[in-house]
Amino acid sequence: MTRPLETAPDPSGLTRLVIEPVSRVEGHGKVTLLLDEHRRVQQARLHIVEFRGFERFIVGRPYWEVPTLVQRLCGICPVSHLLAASKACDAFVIGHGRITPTAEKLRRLLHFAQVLQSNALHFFHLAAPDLLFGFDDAVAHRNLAGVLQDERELGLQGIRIRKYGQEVIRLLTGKRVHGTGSVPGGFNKALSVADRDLMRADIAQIIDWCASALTLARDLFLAGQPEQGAFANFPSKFMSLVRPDGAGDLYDGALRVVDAQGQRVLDQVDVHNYPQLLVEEVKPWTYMKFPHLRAFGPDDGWYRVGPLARINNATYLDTPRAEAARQEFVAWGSGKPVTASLAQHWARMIDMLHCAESIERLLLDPDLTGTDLMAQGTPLREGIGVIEAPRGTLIHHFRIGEDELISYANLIVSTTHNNTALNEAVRSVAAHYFDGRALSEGLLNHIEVAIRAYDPCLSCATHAMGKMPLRIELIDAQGQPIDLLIKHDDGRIERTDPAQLHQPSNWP
Amino acid sequence: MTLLHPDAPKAPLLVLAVGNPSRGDDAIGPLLAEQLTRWLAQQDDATRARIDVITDQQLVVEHVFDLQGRQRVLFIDAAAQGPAAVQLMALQPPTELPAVSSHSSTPTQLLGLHQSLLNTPPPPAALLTLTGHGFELGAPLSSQAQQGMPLAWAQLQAWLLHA
Repeated sequence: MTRPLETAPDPSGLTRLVIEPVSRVEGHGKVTLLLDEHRRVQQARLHIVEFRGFERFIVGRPYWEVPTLVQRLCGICPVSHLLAASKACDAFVIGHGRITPTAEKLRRLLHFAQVLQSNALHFFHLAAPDLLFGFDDAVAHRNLAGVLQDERELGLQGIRIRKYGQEVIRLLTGKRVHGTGSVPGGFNKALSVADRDLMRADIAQIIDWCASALTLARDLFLAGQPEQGAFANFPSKFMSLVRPDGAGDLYDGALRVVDAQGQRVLDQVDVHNYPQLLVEEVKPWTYMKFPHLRAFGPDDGWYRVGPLARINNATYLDTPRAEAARQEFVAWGSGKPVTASLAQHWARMIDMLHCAESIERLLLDPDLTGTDLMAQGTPLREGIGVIEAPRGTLIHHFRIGEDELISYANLIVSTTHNNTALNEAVRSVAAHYFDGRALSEGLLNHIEVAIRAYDPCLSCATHAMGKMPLRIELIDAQGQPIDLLIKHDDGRIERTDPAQLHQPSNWP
Repeated sequence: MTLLHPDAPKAPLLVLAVGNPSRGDDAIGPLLAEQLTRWLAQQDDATRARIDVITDQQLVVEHVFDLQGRQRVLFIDAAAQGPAAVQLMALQPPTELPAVSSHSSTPTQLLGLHQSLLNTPPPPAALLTLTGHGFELGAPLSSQAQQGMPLAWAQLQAWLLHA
C-alpha cells in the first residue's frame, strides 16, 4: 500500500531530485523527490540503500553470546541492544520467572544512563545547532563546533552529561561500550558501594544541567511558533511502553497506542503478542521495513515511537520535575497528543530529565548494591524482549534449538518503527519548501532538520556505517541531469558538473 | 574525585584503538589493542602504569577528555585504502575549529577540539593504520590484514619505545 506522494501515479516524464545521503544521522540514507511538469513534488521517499543483515548474523550463535554480540550493531546505543537481548534471552534461563530485584535495578540504572547520554548527544550535538542558529545558518557553523564557539558552556554541559552517562555504563559493565554486566537471567557484576558513591557525587549537577537543557528546548520551540509547530506536523498514532497504571516506563511494561486525538486505541498489549499486533510490510524501493498495526492496516496503522510518543502516551512520569514538565507539555497541546515533529526535542529533554531523576532515586536504593544477581527457573525455547531505547520501542525476538543455538532472530529497531513517519516528514517538508525552481541549500537543510527530529539510527535500521557527503541531484523530465549539489562532511557546499551524475542503482 | 572530575593520575601514553570487532578488517584496531593488553599483562608495574589502552567502536567528541593530560597519544584504526599496508604518521591539529559530527569524529578533529574545548594544545599524536580489505558484518579478518598484523604490531612497539 502506498501513501500520497510516496508513489506517483505516472512516474514517466517526471523530474527526479535526489538527496544522497543524509548527513548528521547515524548511517547512510538518501532522499529522492520526483517532480511533475509543473515542478511540484509528486513523489517523496527516504531510501535506505543498504541491506540489514543482523538477524542472519545472530542465527547459529549460542544464546548466551547474543546480548554481547548485538551491541556491535551500533556504536551509539549498544546498551539498548544489550538490554533488549538480555530480556529476550532471560526466557532461555528463567522461563516465565523474573530476574532478582538487584539485577533489575542494575539493568534499569544502566538503561537510564544510556538514554541520558544518547538524549544529550542528540540535543546538544544535533538539534541545538539547528534550533539555536536557525535552519538557514551556514552549514560550516551550524554544528557542534559552532555551538562550542558561540555557546561554549552549553556545549560543554552536553559533553559532560554524555560523559557522566558513559562513566556510569563503564562502572556497571566494565567498559564504556561493549561491556557485559547484563546477562541472560540477571546481572553478572555487583555494584560496589564505592562505585555507587562515585555515581552519586555528580548526579545533582547532572539533574540541574538536564533541567536547564529542558528549559532551553522548550523556550526555543515556543519562541519558534508558529513555524516550528507547523514544521513537519502531521497526525499519527503513537506507541510506547507503559506500566499497568499508565506510567511511562523505559525498561518494562505493556504497549499502549494513542491516536492523534488522544484516544487509547490499544492499551496494555502484552509485548509477547507483538507478532499479532504488528505487520512488518516490505516495499520494493527500500531495505527498511514498514511496520504497522495489523488491526488498522497499512494506511491507518502506522505510528511513531520515541520521546514524543512516550510523553504523549504516559498517564504520568514517576519523577517530580519530569512529571511537572510533562504536564506543561500536555497543557501546551491542549490535552491532545502533540504532533509537531520539532516538539520531539522538547519531549526528548523531558525524557532526559526523567532519566537523571531516576538515576538519583536508584542510587539511594539499598537493593542496588545487593549481591543476589542471578535467578533460576524453567527455561523456554523462545524469548521476546522489549524496551524503550532512546529513539523508541526496540523489540528483540529469538528462538533456540535443542543445541541452545539461536534458530530464529527478529529485531525491530526504533528507526524501523518510525519509517513511515520519517517518510511523512520528508513529504511534508518537501511539498511545503521546494520552490519549484532549483535545488537550494535551504531545501536541503529543511529536509535534514525534519529527518534529524527522529534521530534515525540507520546503522541500527540497516547495516550501513559511517557518514558520507549529502548529495542532491536534479534530473529533468527527459532523464538528463541538470543540477547537482553536494554537501561534504566538513560542511562545504559544492555545485558540480551534472554530467557526473548517474542513476541511483536502486531506483525502481 | 568524581566521575566528571577524576583526579587519579593518567598514564602518560594513551593507545586509542577504533573499530568494530564483528566487521571483518574493522577489527584491526581492537585486535591490536587486545594484543597490547596481553603484552602489558606480562610487563612490570612501571611499564603498565605508563600506558593506557582504550578500545571503542568509533571516535566521538567525548574522547577529547581521554586525550587530556597525556604525553603522547596513538590512534589505531583500519584504513579503507592507503599507499602502504601499514602506516604510522604524525598528526597535526587543524589550525581552525573543526566541523565535527555527533556520531563520529576523526583523530585530527579530536586534536582540534582539545585546543578549542580545553584551551590547551593537544598532546603529540600519531595514527597507526593497517589497510583493510573487507568490512562486512560477521566477516573474519582478511588474509591480507592477517599478514599485515605483525608489521603493525612492530610499529606499535616502536611508537611505545619512542623516547
